[in-house]
Amino acid sequence: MKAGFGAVAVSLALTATGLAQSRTVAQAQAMAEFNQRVGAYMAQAKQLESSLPPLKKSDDAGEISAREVAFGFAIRTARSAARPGDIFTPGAAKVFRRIIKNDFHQRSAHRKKLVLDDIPHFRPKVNQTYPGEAPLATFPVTLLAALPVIPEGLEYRLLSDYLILRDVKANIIVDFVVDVF
Amino acid sequence: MAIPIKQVVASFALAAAGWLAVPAAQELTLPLKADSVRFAVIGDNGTGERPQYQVGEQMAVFHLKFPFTFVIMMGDNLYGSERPQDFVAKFEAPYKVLLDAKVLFYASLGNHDDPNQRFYTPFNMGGKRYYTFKKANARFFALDSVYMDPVQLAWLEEELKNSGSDWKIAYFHHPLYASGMHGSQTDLRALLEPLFVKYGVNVVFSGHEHFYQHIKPQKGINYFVSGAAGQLRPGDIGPSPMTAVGFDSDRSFMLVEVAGDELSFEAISRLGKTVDHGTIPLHPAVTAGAAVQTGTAPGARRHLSSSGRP
Repeated sequence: MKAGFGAVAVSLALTATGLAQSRTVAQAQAMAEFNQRVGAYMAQAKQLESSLPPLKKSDDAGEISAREVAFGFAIRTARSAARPGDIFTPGAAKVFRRIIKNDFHQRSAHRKKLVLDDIPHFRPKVNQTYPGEAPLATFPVTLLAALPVIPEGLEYRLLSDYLILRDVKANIIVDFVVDVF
Repeated sequence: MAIPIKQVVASFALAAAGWLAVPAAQELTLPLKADSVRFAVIGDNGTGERPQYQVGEQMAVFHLKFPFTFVIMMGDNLYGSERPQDFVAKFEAPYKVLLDAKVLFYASLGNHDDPNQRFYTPFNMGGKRYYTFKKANARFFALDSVYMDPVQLAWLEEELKNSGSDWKIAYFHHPLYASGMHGSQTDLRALLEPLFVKYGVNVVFSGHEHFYQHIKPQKGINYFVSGAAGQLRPGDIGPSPMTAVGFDSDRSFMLVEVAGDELSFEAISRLGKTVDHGTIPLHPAVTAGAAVQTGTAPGARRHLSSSGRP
């Protein structure tokens, strides 16, 4: 009888291990896909940017602003068919949600407040210009360290219940994940 | 150059029990030593509203007697929209007298700032979100605390390690220690403080909280919150044992002088009153007495009692 229980236990353990392994593989594949799509976006953005005058230091704020708008327009035009989930694929979105929820649930009340303090409340759209009136919420440093590193020029930001991917130079929302908290 | 002087210069104000007598309005406490590094500190300034202009005027008045050569900015340099005319209304106009006098501004980014401000030449960021610069024997580290990614942390450690300067002064938007509405940024502190301690950072300036707060030295580091050069959250400083001096009843800015192995500071209100001042030695261990010797003015609060705020 004891041997029977033992066999069941071993079998369950193996099944659990197998499930965990297959989940890990699926997550790795999802993140590889995410990285590949981020890379493709950056290649496209770089090509578009090369057709514009270089963004350089200026004492004319209008010049900087005009360059930002022009770059945003170029990306928006080139990616007019872009849809939510093009970069945060469903598999990647699942991983991001898990990481963010895990970080958030481990926080004390004070640390949760720090995250939520500055978060702007609006519903993002792909290719949308990040609104000038909305603050760029401080990104929690521990969470940032837990997320995949993305190339310079892109950044993660949090909205009320969204993680967005923002192109810094063009000031546009590239993609987003909903239901992150 | 017409500078309105609205303040009444009075004699020394006698402080209440336990407080020090401090110089009256527009009395400079800084030593003004030859060849010293002189700068001002502003934070959360970019409202474009009247109080920001008044602080700018006050800074211009003090610039006449304390000719600081640069200003470090704690972020939230421009609130709301950032159209070209906003750069004028929220930065160029309020500080016109200083800009005309060739005073340099070194900005850091706050959560209300578009990172593309780094390309705006008058902010002297060199196109970078975080950067470092040196003035005589002091090295400054302007950090982007809004987006403190691992790349920036690695950069900071490398720069601190290779900094041969006597004084290491870091500044950024979010305070590691504060007792206001937001409170101490504990996540950020967990990452930055070990680096600051390891590499001997002496002084840290921040904003984000809309008041002035001088924190008692923490692990040997002196922290200041100076986030009321435009915004103000009156009465927001909660009682806390870590507060050396707090001032939250009016806007404020700071003046700082680094001379050899001493750093002197003075916090000044919009109306030109000194609300805090003191001197920090480079090597506290070899200096007799307290690490920071300070004085406060009526209106500023000292050594607030504990109430559990972080």
